[in-house]
Amino acid sequence: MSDILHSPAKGDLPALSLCDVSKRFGETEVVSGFSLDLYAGEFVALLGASGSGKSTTLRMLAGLERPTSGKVMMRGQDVTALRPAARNIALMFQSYALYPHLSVRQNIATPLRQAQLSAAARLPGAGLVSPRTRATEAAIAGRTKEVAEMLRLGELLDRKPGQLSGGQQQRVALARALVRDPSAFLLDEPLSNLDTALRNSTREEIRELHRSTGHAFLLVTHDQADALSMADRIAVMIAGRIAQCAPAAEIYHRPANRDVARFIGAHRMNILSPGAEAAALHPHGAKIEIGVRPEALRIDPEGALTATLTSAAFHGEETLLHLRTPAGTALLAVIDGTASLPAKGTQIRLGAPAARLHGFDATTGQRVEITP
Amino acid sequence: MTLRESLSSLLLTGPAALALVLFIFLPVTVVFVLAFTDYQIGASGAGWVGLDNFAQLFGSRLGRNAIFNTLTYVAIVIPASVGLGLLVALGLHGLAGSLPRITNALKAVYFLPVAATLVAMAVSWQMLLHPSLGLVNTWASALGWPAPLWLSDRDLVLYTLAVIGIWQTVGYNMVLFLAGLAAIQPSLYDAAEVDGATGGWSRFWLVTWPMLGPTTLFVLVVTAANAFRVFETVATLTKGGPAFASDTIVYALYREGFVYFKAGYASAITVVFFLALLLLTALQVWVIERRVHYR
Repeated sequence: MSDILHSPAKGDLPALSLCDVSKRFGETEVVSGFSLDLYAGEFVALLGASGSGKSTTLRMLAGLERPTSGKVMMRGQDVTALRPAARNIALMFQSYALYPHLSVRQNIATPLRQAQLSAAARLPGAGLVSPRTRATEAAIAGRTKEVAEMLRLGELLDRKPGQLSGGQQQRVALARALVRDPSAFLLDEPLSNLDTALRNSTREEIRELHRSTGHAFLLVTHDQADALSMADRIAVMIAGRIAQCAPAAEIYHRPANRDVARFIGAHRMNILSPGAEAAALHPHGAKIEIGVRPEALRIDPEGALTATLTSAAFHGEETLLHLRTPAGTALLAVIDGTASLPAKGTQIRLGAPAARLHGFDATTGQRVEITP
Repeated sequence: MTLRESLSSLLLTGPAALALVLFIFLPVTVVFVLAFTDYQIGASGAGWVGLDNFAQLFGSRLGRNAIFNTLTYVAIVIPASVGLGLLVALGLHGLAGSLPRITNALKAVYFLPVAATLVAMAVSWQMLLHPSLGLVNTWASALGWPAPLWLSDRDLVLYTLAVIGIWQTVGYNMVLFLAGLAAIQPSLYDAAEVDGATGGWSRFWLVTWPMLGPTTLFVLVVTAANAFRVFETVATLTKGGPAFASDTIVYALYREGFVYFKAGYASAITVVFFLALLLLTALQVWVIERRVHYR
């Protein structure tokens, strides 16, 4: 796996790693042979469609779920049997999971209170009896305030979660996760409950939080825009396995296999089966599949590929062309919105730069290097 | 709103409102008036006696005895049946994942007393608790324990009735608590686990108990209202005896009104009972409501 190559601190032990982990529920194997290293200061995204096993992976990392086989390691130590609190891993839940009966202040302080105060010392008024409890309470209050100010929650400390907006609730969830200085920070679909405008600013905010805290961040998402815009490295998860783990640009430009190629990108990649049409685009096309992204296809009178326009959809800055080749392959092309459109039913010629073609083995689906 | 819409609204609410006025509000008003008279059922006239009926209830040994007995009964039944209901619900909720069939069977068993007619059940209790032939005392003496007179010992009878009352309400409270438990978001338990609330006790205080707040309030109100109205078991098992040791407010009300036909006095008891229950419910809702909905 290419993990080690892209780690920012070579030679260091990963802050958190999964070693050949599998998880089955009854007969179904949800995660199989999964390995991933997360280094301190790194921001990795675990990207997968729903049902790809990414949430289960996250829960195994956090310690909420035990792997059926394999190990969870932290800095070289086996933590597979440790519970979440003992791993000191922070987890931000998709639903935020704030305690509705506690104020923002109490919500943020909960991890510290649970870790530093005994059950008796957590009782109301315990601080009046024991000076030590009083000192701990003061330290917790100070830290809570510090984290709250960092996330612009200073004014809201005495509110209940029910009185906050979605964005504010999300910041409280972030604060609660950050308050105890975790060794790794897991985010489960952190942006899925926010509206579009808030998503963009929150992406920046999470990036900034990552920069300023220096923790290892792992983002779990089904939204490739989130993964591409925030993470240093993306692990694409398909059917319980890592299909590719690489920086965003590499995932987009050099997908490791057909599944990743189809999954990444705003529009689904066109795949031409081995044959005359694929060969027209690239000489290797006679034996292997040739993939070309819709945004790489252009109308070109000299183009090698002929296709009939079946429909065109204007989307403002771009226009989507649905085409069909004589052999019956459906193609999608994205062209500039200002370009003049040929009439429906006309034959047009298409071309693509050789550097933007992808080759895949027809049986295994693995990438075949064809670009010079 | 147009006239037509107003008319159809009136047509829809009218019959029910009329029935409510005729059969609830009117009789209640009559009872409130009768409470200040010495009216007897069947009498042609009645005299205004002011607060005499109330003075009799709070002043007479018998009246105070009924009030004290009811309060004792309620003080045992409310905490015990709410607490046990919660315990059973927590146990069954935890068991549901691993042993679904047994859990469902147990739920049915616990709910049986709620579904069964209490008067019929009282007959079974009478047989079970029979001093010499009852199953309870047969077993007790087989184990070498004393065989008490469950229903005819003056110091014991109220507690026996309280136990039957608890037996009858635990299943109902259990069902309500189970519904409350099922409504708690699983992610809150995950959050508690991540935040370090790993023990059952801290999980309970951090998540379960606060999240059950609204359910607990409802259970408390319903249990209290039912416990104060205890009547069937008294009427069928002890008739308030022996020597008024199990006389409760509602049974006293029944005896005065329908056995001795003292409608005025019975109405006074009703008024006191009604006001007390109203006050209690309002207090519970007012005090606790603000603390369980977290807004």
